[in-house]
Amino acid sequence: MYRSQRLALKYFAAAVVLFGVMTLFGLSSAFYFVHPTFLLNTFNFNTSKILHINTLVLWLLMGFFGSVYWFLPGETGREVEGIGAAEVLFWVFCVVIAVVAAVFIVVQYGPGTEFTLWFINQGRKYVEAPRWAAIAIVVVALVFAYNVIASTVKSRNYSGILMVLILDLIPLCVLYLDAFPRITNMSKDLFWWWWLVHLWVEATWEILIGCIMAWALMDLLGSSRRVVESWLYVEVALVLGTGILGLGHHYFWIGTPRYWLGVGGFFSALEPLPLLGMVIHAIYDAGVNHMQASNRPAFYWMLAEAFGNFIGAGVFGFMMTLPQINLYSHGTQWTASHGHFAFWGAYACGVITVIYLAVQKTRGCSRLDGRAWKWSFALLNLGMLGMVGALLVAGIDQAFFERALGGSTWSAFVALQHQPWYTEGMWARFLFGLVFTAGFAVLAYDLITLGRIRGVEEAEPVKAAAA
Amino acid sequence: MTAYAMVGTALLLGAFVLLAGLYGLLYSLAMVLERPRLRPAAFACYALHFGVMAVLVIATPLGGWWKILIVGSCLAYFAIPPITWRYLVSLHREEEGSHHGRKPRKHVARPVVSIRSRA
Amino acid sequence: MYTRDPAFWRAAAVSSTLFMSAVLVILTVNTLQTISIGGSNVPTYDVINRQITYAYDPAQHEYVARAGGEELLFGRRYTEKEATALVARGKLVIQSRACMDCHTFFGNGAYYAPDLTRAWLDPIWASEYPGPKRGAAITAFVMHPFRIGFHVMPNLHLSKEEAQAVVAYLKWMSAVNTNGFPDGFGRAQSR
Ligand code: HEC
Ligand code: HEM
Ligand code: HEM
Ligand SMILES: [Fe+2]
Repeated sequence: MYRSQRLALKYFAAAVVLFGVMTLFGLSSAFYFVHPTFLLNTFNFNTSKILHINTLVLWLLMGFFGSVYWFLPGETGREVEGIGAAEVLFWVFCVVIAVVAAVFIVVQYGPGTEFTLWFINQGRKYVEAPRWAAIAIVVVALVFAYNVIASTVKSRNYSGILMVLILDLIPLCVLYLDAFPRITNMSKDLFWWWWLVHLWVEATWEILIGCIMAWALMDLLGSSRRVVESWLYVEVALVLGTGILGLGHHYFWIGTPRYWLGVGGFFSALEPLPLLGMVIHAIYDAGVNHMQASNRPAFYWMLAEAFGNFIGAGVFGFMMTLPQINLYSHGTQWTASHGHFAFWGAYACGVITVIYLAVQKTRGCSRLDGRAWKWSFALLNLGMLGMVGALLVAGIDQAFFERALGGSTWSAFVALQHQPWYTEGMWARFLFGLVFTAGFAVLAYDLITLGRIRGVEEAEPVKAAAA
Repeated sequence: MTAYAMVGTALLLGAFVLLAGLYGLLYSLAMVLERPRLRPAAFACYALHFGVMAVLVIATPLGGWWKILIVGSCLAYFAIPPITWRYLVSLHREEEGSHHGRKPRKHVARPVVSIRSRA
Repeated sequence: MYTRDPAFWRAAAVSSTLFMSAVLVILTVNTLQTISIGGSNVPTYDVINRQITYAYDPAQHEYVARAGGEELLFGRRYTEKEATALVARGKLVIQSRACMDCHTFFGNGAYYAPDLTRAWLDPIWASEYPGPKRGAAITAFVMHPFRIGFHVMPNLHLSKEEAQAVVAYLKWMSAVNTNGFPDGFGRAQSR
């Protein structure tokens, strides 16, 4: 095994740990909605939520880094260039995360000074980590980009996937610089902030996961390079062709000019089209392999990725992306419903797929199956579906009563807290959160023990290889 | 837009994309399972999708341009499954014409990992 | 057929990306002018010396924010420079306390607490505290929040000076034009 792949395993382990931390803070965040005096003035909702969404971003990033470190040596046929630095920076990354988390938990917030932004909390959603930590993350990301680029150059294998990946990493890193500025003007602040949030999740990350899934397809189903590369190009053309200007769906109400209503609505209405193509592709691959693969969990998580991306991003996104609807759905639990489903479908499922592939290779299982993964697959997806369903109901109720009828005032917000659909939705979200958490526990157990303590069912010749 | 119209329109928009997805799902399942009986089901979904489109156009207070966009994407959704399917088939067929099945990659080594058999 | 050639799709990917990025850059340049301080949608910071209203405009078919005559905040007339410093301080406080991880600003943030876009104009304040007195009332609230609803706002230990800066920020923000968001603000109460 290459050193790079050993590093990948470390990244996967860290990602799963952070996934767990994120789930616990998700649960606690959800609890405030049903019990608002929970830890009031000791550990407030915002701190809990900061920990939830920051660990979300970090575990997915770690999953992506791990996936690339996992596949890269296979692609270039050599050890990753600069692997020593990458190994050191993995530990730096972990220590930084631990320190930031400790500061969030213990210090929580600071006085209104630049010192706070540098060392405690930046208070901008998703990028709350203080500046010193953001600098460390930039360094980790730059070394990662260097690893990929230098390895490609040294191997002289300018494959399509690698070129797409490299061209994607540049904007991905540059956009992160958006995590630093303090802009007084809220319109401008949010304008740039959305470049980071939207152009990450609906553009650069979408391409990154496309590259990773292309490798995963070749590995799992033996798809040919020509096929996956052609497909990757189609994806890039359509996803970026619609997603870049789809950015406009965040520029309806932040002080930006009117034309964004048209631009944002138009391009984001097209965004679900390529996602449907990906579903068709997934079924095609599933079909030619007769729903069989040597690694069943990876295979099912890959299918979940295609469907989750389509429904979470495509259906739930399109529902509220036209300006006339968004005027009322904007900034409600409806948004949270879509946010959860889309992140889950598009990214979380993809990362779990690759982790299962890595487990199979490292534990030397020619065939990976069992019962635990089925339970975790069912519980996680059921929990997620339940949560986003509950949030959708609560969110529509909120858009209806608080935004449309109530006019978004404070008393409209207060009145919402007495709407049964809303309050019950919040309870349902919490309960399905428990189901999700149970699923996570089984997933962690499965990943730790599969092929190690527990045996792996090795039956039937591996059909996938013949497809 | 009134509060009721907002909720109704949003649900229709969701159903619009969801039914397009269902159509795509059933269409490709019919192909992949070689079960032609699924095809009418696929087209029934598309008919529902089309119906939702019609309701969106006739009965919702969305602006005219948005309605045109919805009609346009309704047509696009019809075409995506067959076109994607044919494209995938032709891509793979071309591939299989030259080599057979899972060919070793020419210029790339497989990830080297110890594959202990657990017989 | 040409569509089977990966090179065709590669070219499509590169050109669509470049084209869309170019359009985005052009729109960005234009947008940045509109949303700069003093641009057509975003008032200068000394708007905090004036009365702000947010009401339905039949001509534009939406709610529009307007700055009217003088209405001092904390009984002071701020120069443009002073106002800029005060509002900038307010933003710093808002970030340092992560208000946005409970509240939304222009609808962006978290959904645990009410939207603050027009908090300055909220009927709960406006009905009891006419313009000149409102600053002190909201200042007192953010320093020692009381509870009217189910969700509670914690005490975030703002000093008086920090709280006043935050209130100046809220007043400035309520004058930004946002294409009619939030719609119907205050309508339910006035009926
Ligand atoms: C832990 C979550 C939390 C944080 C952090 C928080 N708030 Fe609040 N805030 C609330 C809640 C909940 C309410 C509604 C209280 C009620 O309904 O009784 C509220 C109400 C308000 C109101 C009155 C609502 C209105 O429309 O006028 C203002 C103003 C306000 N907060 C400002 C702030 C500012 C400024 C900050 C940052 C310094 C902040 N809040 C931080 C939870 C929070
Ligand atoms: C992988 C794809 C996607 C992911 C991960 C994703 C994620 C998210 C998240 C997390 C938010 C909330 C942001 C915040 O305020 O913090 C959001 C908002 C939004 N998304 Fe997506 N999204 C994706 C795709 C889409 C698509 C395809 C559409 C449209 C068809 C869409 C439409 C929207 C809209 C309109 C909002 C704003 C909601 C509001 O006004 O409050 N998204 N998305
Ligand atoms: C036990 C499971 C989970 C629970 C109970 C939970 C709960 C929550 C809560 C309460 C919030 C705050 C929403 C608000 O501001 O009102 C939140 C935000 C968020 N969570 Fe989760 N979460 C869970 C799992 C996940 C998972 C698995 C993902 C992604 C894969 C995720 C992604 C997000 C995102 C993107 C946001 C910000 C969304 C927005 O503000 O629009 N969460 N979550
Ligand atoms: Fe977006």
